[in-house]
Amino acid sequence: MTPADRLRRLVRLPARAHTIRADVDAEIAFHLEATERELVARGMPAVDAAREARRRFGNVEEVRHMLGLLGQTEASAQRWGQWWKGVVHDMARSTRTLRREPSFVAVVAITLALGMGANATMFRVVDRLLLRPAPHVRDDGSLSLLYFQRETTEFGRVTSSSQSYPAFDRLRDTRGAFADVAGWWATDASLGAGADARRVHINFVTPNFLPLLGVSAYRGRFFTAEEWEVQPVPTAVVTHAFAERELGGAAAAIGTVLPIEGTTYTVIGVSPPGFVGAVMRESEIFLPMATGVGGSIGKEWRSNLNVRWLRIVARRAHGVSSAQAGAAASMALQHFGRWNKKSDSLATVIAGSIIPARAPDGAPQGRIALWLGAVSILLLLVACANVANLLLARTLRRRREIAVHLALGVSGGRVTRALIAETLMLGVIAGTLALGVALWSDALLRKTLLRNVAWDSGQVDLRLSLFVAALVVVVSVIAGLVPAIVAARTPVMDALKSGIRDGGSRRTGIRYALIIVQGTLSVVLLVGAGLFVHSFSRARSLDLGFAPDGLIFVQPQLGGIANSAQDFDQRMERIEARLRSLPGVLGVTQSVTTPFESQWDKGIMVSGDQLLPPLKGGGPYVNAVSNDYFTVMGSPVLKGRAFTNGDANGSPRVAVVTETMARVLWPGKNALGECFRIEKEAGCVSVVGIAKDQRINAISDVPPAQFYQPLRQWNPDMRVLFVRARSTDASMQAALRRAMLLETPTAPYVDVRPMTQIVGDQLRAWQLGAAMFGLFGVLGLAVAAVGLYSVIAHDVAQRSHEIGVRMALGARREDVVGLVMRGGLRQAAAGLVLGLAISWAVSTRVADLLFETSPREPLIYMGVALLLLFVAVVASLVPARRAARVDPVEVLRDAG
Amino acid sequence: MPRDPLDLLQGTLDVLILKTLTWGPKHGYAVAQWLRETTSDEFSVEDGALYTALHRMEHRRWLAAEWGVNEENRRVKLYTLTADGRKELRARTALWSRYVSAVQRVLGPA
Repeated sequence: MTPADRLRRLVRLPARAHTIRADVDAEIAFHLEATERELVARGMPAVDAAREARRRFGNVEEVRHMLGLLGQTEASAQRWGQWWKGVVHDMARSTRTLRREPSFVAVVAITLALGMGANATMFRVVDRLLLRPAPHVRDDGSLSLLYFQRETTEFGRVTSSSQSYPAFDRLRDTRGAFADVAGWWATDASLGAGADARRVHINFVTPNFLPLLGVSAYRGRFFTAEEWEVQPVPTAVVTHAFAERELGGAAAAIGTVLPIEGTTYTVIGVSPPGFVGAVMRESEIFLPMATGVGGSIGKEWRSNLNVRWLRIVARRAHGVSSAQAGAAASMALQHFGRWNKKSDSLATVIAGSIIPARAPDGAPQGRIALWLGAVSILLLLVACANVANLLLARTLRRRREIAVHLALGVSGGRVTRALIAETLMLGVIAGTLALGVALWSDALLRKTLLRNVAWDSGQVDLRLSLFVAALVVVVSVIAGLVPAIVAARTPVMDALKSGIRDGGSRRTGIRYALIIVQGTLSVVLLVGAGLFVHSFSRARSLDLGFAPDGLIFVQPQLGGIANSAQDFDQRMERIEARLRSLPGVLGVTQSVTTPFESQWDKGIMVSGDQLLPPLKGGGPYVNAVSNDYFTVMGSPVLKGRAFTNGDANGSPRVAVVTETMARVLWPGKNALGECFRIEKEAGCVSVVGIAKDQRINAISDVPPAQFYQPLRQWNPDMRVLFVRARSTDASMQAALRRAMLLETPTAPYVDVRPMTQIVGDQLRAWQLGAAMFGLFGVLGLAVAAVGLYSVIAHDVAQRSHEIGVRMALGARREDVVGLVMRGGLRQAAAGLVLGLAISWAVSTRVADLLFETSPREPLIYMGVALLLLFVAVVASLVPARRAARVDPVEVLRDAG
Repeated sequence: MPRDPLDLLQGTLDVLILKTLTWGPKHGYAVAQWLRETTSDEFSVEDGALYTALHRMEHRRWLAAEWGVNEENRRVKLYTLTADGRKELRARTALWSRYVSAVQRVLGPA
């Protein structure tokens, strides 16, 4: 054998491509030569022999090519085999090494799991809300949700998503823009009656709604074109969840009968599991629009131009872009508006994305989700920086071991690969934990950010697993790369020499940089937390103008219980009396509108002037109330008087106005005794009292101008009740509900809710921001604190020799403690300054998510600074004190 | 009278090569020579097909190959039978016997 062959046999390396080819050529050449020689020996001339040899061989080129391919397949299989063996070997080694350091593994795994878990959760949210349409909606790029934008003088640009039915009809005919247009109206209704009644979420839909979205029936069938008109047998389609929960399964649901708001529907079909409609709102039943809408919108719903209630989804015609469709529809709508003299129909139609969270003038949920996503990425970076630091410290601890490997001839690349394998293993452990974190926080999110959103079941699906796997790889690389490279470049001779104790100043530089990065990120998160917590507390401590604690809202279902206005009033008085008689009830009042839920505005004229000054916040709003409204609600009359029994039907018309209305309409004057006219009504209404302002639109809106009229002088048949009671718990609510049922036994479900719940819904956005930022901020701070502690502790361990020398030369304990702590505080201070600077610069971008809080509120920044310094002091203190307890004699003796 | 050489039945070449190598390691040319002599040139085998079979069986680990040097100091690739190759040979030989005796039973004594 040649030396090359001998070596190759010894080492068994896979051959390179050109070697393979050369070998094949040599083998074939030898054969041809041998054949030639044999033929020549038998007497053939040389030239003929060569030709004959090739002829006998067959197709030389083809065989050479085939053998080459075979050889290469063999070689690459060998290479893969070796690589794979190397990987398995690394994994086994990593497991052995890591098993010896359980606390290190725990700290790293938990740190990374928190960061990755937060990201996995936000990924699910962002994916569900912003990247995908509602479940089962078949989006081939041609579906659009329609939105309507108008420029108004008071509010600027207003975007709404509802239209009137006649406008919808007109849009259906828009030639060239849409292939099909469908509408829906999402509302709640009562299923059943009396004591068994319950609230269900329903969608009234046009019959083409479900096919337009590309949904096919899971069982049974969907609506046909006949259902554009009222059918003798009203039909219904239920969601899969509803069928499973209430009707005994999808198969059993077909043919069952559902009494909803007085009409009996027969179930004809079940939608696929997970489908809830075009938007992500909880839905249980789909009903044909023609059958049920009249009860709520009014009998003239098909021709009523004044009420905008219908939401519209459209499939654009082939080849038509959103912009083109929007333009064509806008023209049609404006023509319609001018023809019908409805100026508020002069809107621009936007054919928006089928993904609901991507509405123009975006829905807050989408924006909050994005911000939280960014925050969780920050958190992950902090976690990675921390872990990188820990890994780097560990690498430095093992310098001697690594140096031995390098000296024995293991390549730097192999060392790096082995360390990355360890980091990957840690990453995999963390990733598994992260999935658990994601599932847990999924449940948390469903109760907070995604309360009214229809959310898929909290199971680990493929997209999430892929995302977490990708995270594991990315995180392992980020966290593990620097330590691995540092390990590979360990100066061999230095590390093998005994007696060297320092940590290596260059390495320490990297570690300090990482600490500063962590500190910066933590500060940014904490400032965010501070801003949102402040917003939330400001929102909570707002003076609402009424006292929600102890107040319960009752919405009676009064449809059809009275034949005349008088009858109605009498029944309402009886209901009031019955509720008042319940134990624990302190007061009951009737009202027409409800703060945050319903508002009614009327045009008025102040005597002398034809025009009103522009009213901020709209209005003026009107409410008709019983006499004790002001005491029950806690909106006391500040000047003048409340209503009495003397303000009856024939008596002079009176009103109580709010402070804002008094101030705006009669500036500088005493409003009591002043007079105003309500549009379309004769005679003057005089002001007899001035009451406290109420916040009635949104909690962040300034209280608008509002006035009250006594129910005896204006009694629309829209009515709610407010009950002030000693307690607002479930038993009180049940008692109220029972009392209501006694008065109206055939009524569907009665809505009874504590006022604090209604107010809470208003506060939810800030509550959520405060909770999430607070949580992330605390997590970030904890991770940074652990990081700082570990760096300082490691330093102390490395410098124990130096400290021993110092103490032997006369340094006192306090000096040593001071020395260590100064180092720690310096790093924290650097991170603090950077973090505050970044927050200062970036915080203006969240200004519109805050409430009554300046994004540069100095108190918050100072508070965060103090907190960080405090944490830094504590984190440095423990290792500092341990340093002070170093026995110089021990350390100096150990110098060998 | 020289007869036309027979074409090999499918799969026979493999078992012939395996059997040839039971006589010791050989390079490709030696295998071809041996087969020609032992069968008295009955079969026509393209040398290219032979080498393809050799490489294929090496890939399947029935043969082990090694580069060595022959008497004239030329570099040659020598093929040896492996344990797996021997097993395969035994199996195929048994199969061949069954095949032949079945055919013979049908055709009957000549």
